[in-house]
Amino acid sequence: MRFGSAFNETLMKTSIYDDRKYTLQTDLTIIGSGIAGLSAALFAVQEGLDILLLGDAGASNFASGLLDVLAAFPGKKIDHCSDPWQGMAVLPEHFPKHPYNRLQSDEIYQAVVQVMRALATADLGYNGFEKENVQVITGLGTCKQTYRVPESMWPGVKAFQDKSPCLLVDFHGLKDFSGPWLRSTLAREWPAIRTERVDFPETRGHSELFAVRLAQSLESERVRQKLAAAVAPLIRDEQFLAFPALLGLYSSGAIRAELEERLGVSIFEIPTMPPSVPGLRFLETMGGILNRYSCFRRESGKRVSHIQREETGQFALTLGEGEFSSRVLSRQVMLATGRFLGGGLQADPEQIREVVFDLPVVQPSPDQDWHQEDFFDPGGHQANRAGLEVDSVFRPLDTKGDVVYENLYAVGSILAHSDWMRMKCGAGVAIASAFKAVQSICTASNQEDRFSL
Amino acid sequence: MMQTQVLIIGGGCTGTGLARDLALRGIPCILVEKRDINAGASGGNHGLLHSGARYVVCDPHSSRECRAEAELLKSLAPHCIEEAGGLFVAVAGDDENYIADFESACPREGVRSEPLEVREALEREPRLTPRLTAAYAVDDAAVDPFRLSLDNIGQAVELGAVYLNSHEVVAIQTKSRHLQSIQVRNVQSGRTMSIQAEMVVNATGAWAGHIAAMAGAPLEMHYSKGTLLVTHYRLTNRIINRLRPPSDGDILVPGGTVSIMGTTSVQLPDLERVRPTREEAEQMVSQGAAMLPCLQSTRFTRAYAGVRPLLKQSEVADGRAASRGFALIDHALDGLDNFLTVTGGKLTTYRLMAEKTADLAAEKLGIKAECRTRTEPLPESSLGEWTEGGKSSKAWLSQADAGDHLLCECEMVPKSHVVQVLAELETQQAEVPDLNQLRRRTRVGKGGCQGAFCSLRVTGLRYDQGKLAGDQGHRQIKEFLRARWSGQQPILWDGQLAQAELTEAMHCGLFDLEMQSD
Repeated sequence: MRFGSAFNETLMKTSIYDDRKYTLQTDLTIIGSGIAGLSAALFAVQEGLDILLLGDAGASNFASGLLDVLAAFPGKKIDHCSDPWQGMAVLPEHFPKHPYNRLQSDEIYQAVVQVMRALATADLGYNGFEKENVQVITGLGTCKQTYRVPESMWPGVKAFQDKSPCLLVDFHGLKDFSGPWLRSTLAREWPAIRTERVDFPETRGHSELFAVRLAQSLESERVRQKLAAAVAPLIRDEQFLAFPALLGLYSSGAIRAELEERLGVSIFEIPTMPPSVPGLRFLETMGGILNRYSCFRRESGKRVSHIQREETGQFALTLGEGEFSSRVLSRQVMLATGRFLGGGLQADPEQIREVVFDLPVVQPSPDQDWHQEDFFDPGGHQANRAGLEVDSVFRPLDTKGDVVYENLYAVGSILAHSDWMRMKCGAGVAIASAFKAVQSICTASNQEDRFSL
Repeated sequence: MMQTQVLIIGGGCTGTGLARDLALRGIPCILVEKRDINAGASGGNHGLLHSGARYVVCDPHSSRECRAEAELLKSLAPHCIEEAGGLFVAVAGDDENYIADFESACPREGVRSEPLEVREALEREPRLTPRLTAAYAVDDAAVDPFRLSLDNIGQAVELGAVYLNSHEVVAIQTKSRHLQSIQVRNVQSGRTMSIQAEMVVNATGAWAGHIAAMAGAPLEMHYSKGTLLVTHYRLTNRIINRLRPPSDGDILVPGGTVSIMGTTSVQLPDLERVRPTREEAEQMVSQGAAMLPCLQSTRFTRAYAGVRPLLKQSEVADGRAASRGFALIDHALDGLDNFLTVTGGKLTTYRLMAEKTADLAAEKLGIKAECRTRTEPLPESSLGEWTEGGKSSKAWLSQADAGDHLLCECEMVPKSHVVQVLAELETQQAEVPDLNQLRRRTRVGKGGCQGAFCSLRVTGLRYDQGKLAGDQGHRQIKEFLRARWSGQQPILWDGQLAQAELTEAMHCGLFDLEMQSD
């Protein structure tokens, strides 16, 4: 199979490019715009770094919008951990190489809070408990543990806790969501939940409805009015009203508040299968927040086609190819490229490789299986723990254990030893590793500034 | 307790073909199958309707049988067959003697084979390697084994036969040279019942030895596992055979919208673990790439394996060299007068096997009735209507019904087809049909996402219909994804690995299904 990374190892003589200017010079280029890349960008611009954010959302298009930090230990049997911080305290013992072990749990908490605060300034509030995971009901009627949920789901957490009477409304033609499924699965645990199915306003004649499309249409007040009118007569004595997560894309907080006022009940959303509206809200809102900063630049359409280092150690990146390509000189580069679905890792039958720099990937040895025979094996699959080995500030290491480049970082799900799907730690690792890496960049550049003074 | 004239054990191509054959002769029968239609080797093969060319050198008898049967089926069951045609190709380094033997044997056995210039062969199939040294066009065809079996059992049931899905034989009572009663257990409900029959036919393929042993008739079998790979897209129009003695990775058969790469031959000590392995998959890809270099970069969506039931007739080390001709055994020699075993053989000759078995059964029962499957066309049944790749999507597009949503977007299977198939299954069985049964009768779960999305949509529909309750949905999805996984695990690299990550991100990462009870 084809494999070619964008990186050329030979150092580039600065003079060769003297006559060909860089389009942009920047402190930090982040490759990847998922949760890790966006969080790193946020931390960096808050510190005043000039940054360039590359790549599209990739696998994050499938993000749920829930914010997992740590909820389970895979193994011979799955151990739940209801308090992620307590879980982190025993993590070094069970998963000594997990990325979290490179941070104090305090730092992880601070990092998560910093992202939450920024989101709250843009009408995307998150909620949860300090020292306990939240139990949130999914569209399948499973009860998922996560650390922070969007505020739009918060009343549901309360309603489920108290098993309060609740009306769940879904829509004809929305094939990705079934209220009866949730109701029937939870019948014993939460008998007071009732379902109704209505026509979504202004969709007659449409064959299939998709959550993202419906969320967009609820940005219109006329549609909201009609939805409220359709649902109002169905409410009996319920104080809670649930919808699949599609109540608006850009101004979801205001939309939900308005519907609550019209209907006089507490409204909450239930997470759906991807592509998920709360996941998109997260990506969109983060992008919007970053755009407020003048030191923030973004190029989503172009791939990194070539990377080389100058003698100074800075990275020269070529974005795109041919006449539409542009050149960037960057003091630091951060990989937030994700795993297989995101495109940061690629595998042929023999081995797993890192795509941009062809960095060494920690992976199962040739005689080990990548995957277990049982899809639901409680221990998870080896391939999901493959990834990049990093130092204490998230700089990739070579096979000898040395830092590859002092100004190259890697964050998020591409890191080795963290099965985010089974440990429920995806967002937490993305945010915490981004936090630590940016901190390190700032410390390094402060020192540089001191020297130049 | 149930009574019948003939009890057939095993719902593969032979068993269902036999049920139809008997029903057409007016002989009442019951067919019991422990899992589902074609759950064994009948569903675990490449769906090739042999022209006879494959066996022309090493097994002329099989070659003749295949040629004659293939011609019959093409005229009697055309809806199950795509007359794709085939090529036999040799590449640089392949044995010249074998090529010469092939060329001389074809006319001798009456197998049509037309020598092609390399240029011509490449024009017909541009994905072939330019390093071809020889090419022959033959009359191979592709057959949909699920459609075939579903149509066979469909007509049999219409004529009064009884079909029992998920019924496993757990004990056989014999008395004075007779199988007196057969205990079967419904594997879903756990209920057992006994069946009395004048004649019992063991058509359980690789499991024939197990059933025979229950009756006290020793039957030594050996097992040769064959693994196959399914590509994401169809690579060739025709069947491509490697022109060399049978070996791994030497055939590519189109199956509607995909291609199926075969095959390996691995001796198994028993039937405990019939799973394709990663080694086999990698081996086949590298072997097949000699004919079709594109296989190196092709996305495979899954692997599957079937077991060739081979009778231990001689000391043959390699399962492939043993005769592929079928065996019809009258256990009167073992002291059992009403017990027959039919095993071995090929998909192509299933009808002939059924005919010979029915002949013998009828003779022993003293019934004079001619075989009619040799002359009567196989009617299309609604059971097998949606098994063919691409058929659902065509029907959906032409009906243009806005309310009929696609539940499976990869293979474009609309809600109406799912509802139809599940409703028919409900008429056949007391238990709630599951996703695996749906998969065998439609294209649901067979596309690129391997069931990640459609499993959720179909389950949602079933709750909407009130057919599922409680955590049945979680259990069904887990069972279904596990079954899909057994075929995914060996081929997880490149694009399909990313796909598997998405499946796990959804079902475990988000929905926590790994934490729900099975």
